[in-house]
Amino acid sequence: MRRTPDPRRHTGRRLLAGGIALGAALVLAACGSDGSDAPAAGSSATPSSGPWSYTDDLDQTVELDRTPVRIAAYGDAAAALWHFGITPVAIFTWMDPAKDSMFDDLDLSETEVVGETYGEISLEKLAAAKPDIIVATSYTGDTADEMYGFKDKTQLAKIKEIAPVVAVAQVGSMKDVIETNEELVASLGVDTGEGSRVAEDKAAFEEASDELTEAAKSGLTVEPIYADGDGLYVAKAPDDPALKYYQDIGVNFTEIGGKDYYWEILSWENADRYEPDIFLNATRNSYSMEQLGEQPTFARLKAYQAGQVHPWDTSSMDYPSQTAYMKELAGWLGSDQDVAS
Amino acid sequence: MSTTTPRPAAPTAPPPALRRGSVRGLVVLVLLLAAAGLASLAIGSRPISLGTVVGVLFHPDGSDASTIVHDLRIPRTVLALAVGIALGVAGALMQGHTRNPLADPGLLGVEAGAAFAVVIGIYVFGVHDLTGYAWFSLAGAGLAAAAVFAIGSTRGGPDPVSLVLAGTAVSALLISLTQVVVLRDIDTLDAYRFWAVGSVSGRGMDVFWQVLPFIVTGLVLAAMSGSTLNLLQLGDDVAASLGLHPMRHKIIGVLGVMMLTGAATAACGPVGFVGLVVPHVARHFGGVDYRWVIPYSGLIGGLLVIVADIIGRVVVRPGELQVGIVMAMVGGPIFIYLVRRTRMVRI
Repeated sequence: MRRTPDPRRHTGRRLLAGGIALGAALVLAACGSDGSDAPAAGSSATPSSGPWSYTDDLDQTVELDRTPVRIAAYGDAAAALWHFGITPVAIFTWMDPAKDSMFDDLDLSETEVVGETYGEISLEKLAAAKPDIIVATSYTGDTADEMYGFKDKTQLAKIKEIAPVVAVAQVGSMKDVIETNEELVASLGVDTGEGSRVAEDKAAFEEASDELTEAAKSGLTVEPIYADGDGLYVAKAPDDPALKYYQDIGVNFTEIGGKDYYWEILSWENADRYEPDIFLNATRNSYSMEQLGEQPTFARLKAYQAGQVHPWDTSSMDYPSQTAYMKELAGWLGSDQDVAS
Repeated sequence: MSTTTPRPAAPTAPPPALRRGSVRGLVVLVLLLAAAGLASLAIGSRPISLGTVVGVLFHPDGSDASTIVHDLRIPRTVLALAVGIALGVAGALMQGHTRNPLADPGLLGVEAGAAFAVVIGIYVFGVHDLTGYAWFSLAGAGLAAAAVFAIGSTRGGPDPVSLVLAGTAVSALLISLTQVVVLRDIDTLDAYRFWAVGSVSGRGMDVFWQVLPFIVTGLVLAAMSGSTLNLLQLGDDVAASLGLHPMRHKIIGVLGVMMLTGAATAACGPVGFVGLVVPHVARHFGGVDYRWVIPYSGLIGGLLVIVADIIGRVVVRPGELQVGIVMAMVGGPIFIYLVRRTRMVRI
């Protein structure tokens, strides 16, 4: 009834409503492809030939005769795999990936886009890309039969006939999600051991985390928002994996009330319910700085007047993407002023 | 066979007076409207005491409360009033000129035209502010109206029935085209659906000044229509024999509807049910004389939209419900009630 921006819309994800937890683990019959296709161009994975077995976050165990080399993925999962060194052969997502900031630093030329509207996936194109596995993202309430990123059970069942679908749950803390991705790519043959690029990226991530912890000692309070004509949507850090991680390592988010999941919705009259030192404004579809300033109540907020409204970026669940944003956040926490208290 | 007992003398008492509008009725409506307007300044999603509201109303002091009353509540109240008046009057004109009690001002294609123009503004020109939406929807409403006139004009000139048919056809086409764009592009859909829900919040007085000339023009055309509408209810032939030029007056009326609906839609997106329900309420209290029905409709329309907006501010605190949604929830049941309980006033 009430239109709310989807909690994960700004991060390019959506939750499938409802979804009865069946709890039953669906063990997929090993339906290995013949494996005669060449590895995807640009893939740095060095597959071992042996049998491959992987148990995903929805308790599905996928067993194949050979290690998968041709990977298809839902957009968010794809961007993360890419940064781990795996170039997907096909992706499907919810918008034109060329316009999605998540793919800004990625070369899409070797990858077939088989869907750019939520739930609209070309099965023919997907099958033509001959994926060995399909990597998807899952959220609370998803099951092996019904998960986020697909139109419905029927579509998911058809896609599973093309290749097994492996889900990476996007819940809990961001670091856990990244580590799940790391385990997945390691099983696919990406070197994550000492001296590898992934290990370097991980070290940089830890360094950025420490930097953020240090910067957060400034004690500045942070409020992530989405804004439109209806009012201000304030995000609850514990409900977002990335924000939860920042909070765990010391970033001071304003405590948000209300019973709803993910957002508390404030009318413009109530825009000053919480006065943070720093706003993080969702980059996707939210009001621009100029539009925020046109709202008389927002224009009165000290963080706005001090110019302490920064972009809240969409970052995929991998070390380099998260490192880049944490560095920005640490910079703001270090240089912005304590204006609210 | 007994002789029939003499019946009481033929009724000498005059038949119960037909309900008709009166200056007293208008005064009552204006007072109600003033009360609603004050309530709209006092009540909001942020509780502010009445004393504070009155205090900052006359002595703006730059406080939070003062900003909220002056920069948020006054503009939205003025907008709700203007939009309510425009849609109420447009509804009365529309039902009168088409002689159809179920005619809605949206039937003339202007709302669909406004919506399509807004979508084009967002998708092609990257417009993302409310003033920009208002310009595009005014232009779209105007172009759709012109198209409807061009298509709906028969040899004898445009008559309301063919105009409504043309309006329905043009609406259907424009709605489809709108869908084509928003279903293709999720960013456009996100921006568009915010506009399409119908809301008076988040807008400054600039939007009001922008649409005011069109509303005033529409109201002038409506005033010109008032007395002739009564004669037109008798049929074109009778009206013509009484020296009226039916076609000319119908065009004036339809132009008025387009101006008012286009301006209201430009200001706050499509708000349903006002144009449909309000004229029935106006006839219920004000009889069938359009010289009364039109001003009654305007005032009741203003009252309805302001009250609906106030309701929207308090039901989901600390958030708000848009007036378009409240109107659909309030207006729908009112309409069903009117249809069920009172025989629809024949027009």
